[in-house]
Order: sequence, then structure tokens, then C-alpha cells
Amino acid sequence: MINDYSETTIEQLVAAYSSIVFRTAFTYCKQTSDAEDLTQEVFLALIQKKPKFESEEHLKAWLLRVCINKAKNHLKRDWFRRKEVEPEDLTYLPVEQMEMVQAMLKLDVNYRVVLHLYYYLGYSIKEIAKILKMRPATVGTRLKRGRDNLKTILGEDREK
Amino acid sequence: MKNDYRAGMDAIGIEQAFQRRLIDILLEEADRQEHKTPKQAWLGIGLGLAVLIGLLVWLLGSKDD
Repeated sequence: MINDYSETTIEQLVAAYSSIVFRTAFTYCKQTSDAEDLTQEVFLALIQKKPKFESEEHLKAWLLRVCINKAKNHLKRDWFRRKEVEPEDLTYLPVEQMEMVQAMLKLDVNYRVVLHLYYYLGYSIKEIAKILKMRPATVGTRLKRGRDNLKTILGEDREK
Repeated sequence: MKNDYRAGMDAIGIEQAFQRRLIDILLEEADRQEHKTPKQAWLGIGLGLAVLIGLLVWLLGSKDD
């Protein structure tokens, strides 16, 4: 599937990776419509640049890195600077899952993305450091602080 | 904690209609890319020739001075 951009492969690429990219984008922008826009931008970049990949993992990491960069730019845009976006309605989820996802979305974005890559996508600290282009020690610190903050948020929410 | 987050994120699904639309957009873009290359090459050649002619004119002009 790598380094081939034929019609069949494009369909396979979307089937295999669009969910991962979409959910990573969602952890940043908290809205389905924005996450869809970002997913589209990421896949368009792939088709336009046609990078050469060594493996499926390399391709997946590239998609995530591009997604994260685009999501960061998205957050920097004027509108977002003025107003913190409220997460979309997740009441259709079972209570525990909704509380957990909402708590995650309340975290600072730097912690949020590290926790998402670690817990949802199952990357190691070393791999996250590579994707986010930062030192493994920084990733470790963010992971710990993110977890601590998450516990605090979950505790506060349950007290309410 | 981890399982609730995973299950919650899995439930925030990407719509099939969106995936279909995305595939259509990407196929269109791939098609556009394929047909763009010759045009770009001709544009490059045209620009190169224009620069060359410009240089020649300038060189000939400066010789007369």
C-alpha cells in the first residue's frame, strides 16, 4: 500500500488511516466538522507530495505528524485565539466513556496529544518523541503531568 | 481509565459518507496532479526561454554601448 497512489490504494489508505487521523485531529479541535476538514487536508497533502515511505509505520507516523502540525496551525488561527472551543456534545456515549473523553478534552493540548498517542494509539514514549519532534524526557514529563491533571479533572467532575 | 477513553474515542466515529467524499476528492486531486505535470513543464520551458531571450537582448544592448 505504500508509495503507490493508484485509485485502489487511495481507497485502502482512507479505509486504513482516516479514522486514526480524524480522531487525532478531534483531540485538538474537539469538533467533528473541524476534524473532518483537517483529515481532508492531511490526505490531500499526501496525494500532492507523494512522499516515499520505508514502511506502513513510517506512513502512519507521517500522517500523524502532518495532522498534528495542521491541527496546531488550526488552533493558532485568530478565532481560536480569542475563544476556547467547547467540546461537542458527547452525551450519546456511555457515561464513563463520555466523562473520560470530556476530561481529556479539558486538558491542555500539549498533555492531551501525548496521552492520546500513548493510550489510544499505543505508541511508546520514544515513538511519541519522534512524532512530536521532542525529547523523550519531555514526553515522559507531559505524560505524567497529563495523567495527574486528568485525575484532578475527573475528581472535580465527579464531585459536581 | 484507558479502556473508557479508547472505547469513547472509537465511538466518535468517522462517517462513511465523509470517507466516501474524501476518496472522491483525493481521486480528483490525483487525476489533477497527473495532468498538471506536462503543463508545469511547458510553463518552466517558456519561462526559461523568456529569461534567456531577455539576457541576450540585454547583452547585445550593452555591447552597442
